[in-house]
Amino acid sequence: MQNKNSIKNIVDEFVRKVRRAEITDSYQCAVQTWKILKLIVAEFNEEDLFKETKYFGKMLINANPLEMSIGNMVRRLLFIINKESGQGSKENKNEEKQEEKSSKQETIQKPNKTKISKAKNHNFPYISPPLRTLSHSKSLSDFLLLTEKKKKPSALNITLLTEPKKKNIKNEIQKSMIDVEEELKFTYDAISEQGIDLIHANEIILTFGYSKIALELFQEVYKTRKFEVVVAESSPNYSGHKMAVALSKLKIPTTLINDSAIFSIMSKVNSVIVGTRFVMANGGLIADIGLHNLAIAANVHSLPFIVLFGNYQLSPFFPYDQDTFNIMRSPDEIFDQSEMTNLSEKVHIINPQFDYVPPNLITLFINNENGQQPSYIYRISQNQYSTKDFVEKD
Amino acid sequence: MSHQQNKQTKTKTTEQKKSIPEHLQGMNKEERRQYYQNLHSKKGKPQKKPQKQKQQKKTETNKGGSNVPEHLKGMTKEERRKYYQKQRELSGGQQQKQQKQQKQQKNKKVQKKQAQKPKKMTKEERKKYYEQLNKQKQEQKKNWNQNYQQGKQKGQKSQDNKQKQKTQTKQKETQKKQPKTNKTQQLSDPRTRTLTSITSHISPFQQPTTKESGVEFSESVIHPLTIELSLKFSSGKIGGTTGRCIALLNLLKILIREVTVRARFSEDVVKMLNRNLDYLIKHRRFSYTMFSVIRTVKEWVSRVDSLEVKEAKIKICSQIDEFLRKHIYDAEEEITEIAWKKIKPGDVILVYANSRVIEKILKKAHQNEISFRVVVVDSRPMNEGKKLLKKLDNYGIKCSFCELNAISYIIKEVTKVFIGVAVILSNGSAVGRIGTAIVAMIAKRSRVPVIVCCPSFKLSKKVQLDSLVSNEHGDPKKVLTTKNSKSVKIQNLPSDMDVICLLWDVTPIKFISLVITEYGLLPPTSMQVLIREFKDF
Repeated sequence: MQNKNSIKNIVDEFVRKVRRAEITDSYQCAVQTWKILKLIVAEFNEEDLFKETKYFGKMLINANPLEMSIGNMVRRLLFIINKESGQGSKENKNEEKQEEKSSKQETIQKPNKTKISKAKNHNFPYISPPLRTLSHSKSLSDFLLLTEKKKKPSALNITLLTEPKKKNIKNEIQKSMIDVEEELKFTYDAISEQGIDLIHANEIILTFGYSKIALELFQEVYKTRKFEVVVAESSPNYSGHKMAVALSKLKIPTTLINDSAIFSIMSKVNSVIVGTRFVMANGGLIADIGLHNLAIAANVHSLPFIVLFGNYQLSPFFPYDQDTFNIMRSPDEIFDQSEMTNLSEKVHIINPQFDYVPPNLITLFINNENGQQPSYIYRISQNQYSTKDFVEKD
Repeated sequence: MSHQQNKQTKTKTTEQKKSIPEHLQGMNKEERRQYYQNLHSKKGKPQKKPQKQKQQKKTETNKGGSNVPEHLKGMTKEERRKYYQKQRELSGGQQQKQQKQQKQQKNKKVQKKQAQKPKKMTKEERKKYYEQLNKQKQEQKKNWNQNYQQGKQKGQKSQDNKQKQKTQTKQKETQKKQPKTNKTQQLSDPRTRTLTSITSHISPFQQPTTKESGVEFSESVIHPLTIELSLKFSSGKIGGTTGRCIALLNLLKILIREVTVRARFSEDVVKMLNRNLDYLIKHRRFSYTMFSVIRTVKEWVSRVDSLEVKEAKIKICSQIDEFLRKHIYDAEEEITEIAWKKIKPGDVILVYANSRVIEKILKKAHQNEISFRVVVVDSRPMNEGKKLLKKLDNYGIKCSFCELNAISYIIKEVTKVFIGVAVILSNGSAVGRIGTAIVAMIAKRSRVPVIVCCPSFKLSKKVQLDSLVSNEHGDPKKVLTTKNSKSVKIQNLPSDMDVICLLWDVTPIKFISLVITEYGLLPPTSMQVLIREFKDF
């Protein structure tokens, strides 16, 4: 119990920082939530793990529900727990008890049926195998075997699953947590390695605002190729100025333009490379306001619109509108108070923070692993998160 | 003014007598002439005193008119008659030879050549010599084209050098506080930024100043009202295209009314206008409409020579008044009459930046008690939308306000978009404040009609595909000054960073649904027809 209090204190401190906007960078939020989750996993037993992660996870998410990187890391943990231990929400628990019984009875004779039943009970959609296996294999069993990575179609493995289950769970969870942590560490490197395929020599590239991933990518590519960057200051936070100064310190020739000049300069630009706040499961973006204009302008001029993101930015929700994930900021950022006194009370000043970009405007996503199509993003989110963890209301 | 007198004819009107400067009024004609001749001699020009004195004396006796050629002024009337009789008797070629010889005798250059030659040359030798001269002249005529182009290239090179010097001086000013290593790196790197080099044909931003070398205030060459206007233009007090045109036309009226004409009306007025306009243009570059206005006024001036000066002035001023009335004030009223009916109750109308016509349309619709509301969109660097917001709010119209980036958030509520422009090109696309292209693009995507309102004097025969072909640079400080004050100051700009501030924007024809002019409602594809049929100037 003492450890639980200490964890509570740590969580409270983090929540306080996020609420006061002392931590605004979503990468930093993700890193720190993962540290906290590590502590939680180290403290508690496997039986209580799921509950406690949910409990603390809610506290973390409620600090700022629009800071989705926190929620994403929490849900990733829940997915890992689901995967390794079989613990999950209530429905899953009952089904898995039945599975354990059935597996004990039918270990040697019919190994394949348990796997089919497991696949049905988890409410994932049917995982379709790659095409080349269809030609070789003939029976259903072979399909299912090929999808599961580590498990081989031998009787020995099945017996291992039943017996020493409880001992290895935590270790496996911690192992996979370390994998995720390393993935987090090396997001910048992994993405910037793919930059050479995107940028040719002597090109002019347009960016929007400040994004550290884009900065690292440009730095990496500039070692071998010369190009130029045009930065659009994104009002009203003017992060573009920061980006331009940072780029010029790397000796990359930059020019800074207003947001209103985007359309006039587009004809001389070769491609648009941009970072976002968050990527949603339908392939849409939630970004700083003004990116939608850029995307439409790039579409009109038929330029490639490339978006860079790390896995911590991918969240499993489906927006369809500008209003689903948005918040209004104070009009003080646009208007001086001295100017406001001359106006009557009827005037309504609108200053939204986020902008939704639909997936049909995006040509390519760049991830840690590879380039992705926007129509494939839902698949990645399913590999990272399980559907029940965010659909239920506890 | 003084050397014009000597070159021109000697007929004087009453006005010329009044135009004598004060320090010379006490003197006679001859004394004044000597005074001006002394001025010429001080400047190092060749003196023609003896010849002129002779001519003056004899013209006084002969009462010779202005049409007497120079080589015959030494003779009386009877002598001249005999001379012309001789010429008629002789054949045509010999006449020309005699005329040539007489002219050559007067020319000092030929005299020098003849002096240099030995005087014992026979006719044949002289013929050969002149043949050689003619050959040289013919060769020069063939090569004049090459020489002309060489001269052109030299001129361009000098202009390029001037531009380079300007950019270098600007960079030096920005880099005074930086350490030396950056300078060496910059000098060694020959590659320039392509975006700035693409926009280098656009004239750079000019700081507003009153200092102007060569302004001779003692002779009152430039009218004080032009200086006042130049400051207003450069500071931004008078901003929009029609506003600037109206100010320009009023200025031209005053200038033409107050000009002092010594000789021909058209020449004097055009010279005066050029002086004043050259001063004005240095503070802020003119828009297309202003250039066309100036051209028409100069045409009017050139057609007025037959009248007396007073009548000419009155005529031109009345023409300017008619232009203002017809093309600006009446046109705006007709546009408002047509356009306010397009606003239906329950409409949400989006407006970008500041435009006189659109303000009038909305005011009129509000006066006719239509319930609608307005969304005003604003953008950097000019921030003109805030002015419109204040005006509309004072009229009592329901307004909301947002920045250009938030348009995609707000466009779902909007039913119509009204836009004002600077110029409409003959291919139907519109040149407007920077950012209008984005507004039109997003409206088109969301299936909202885009309505452009402009009077017909903003139509032009030009065609532009791109916004960068002809544009205007604004003050880069406006880009760098932000509310957060987190950005760099222009003095501390790093060496690899550049700032561009463009002021105009071309919206392509596919985004525009309707154009409202004083001639009615038209699609944007029929702008060329309007230009051909209705444009007076």
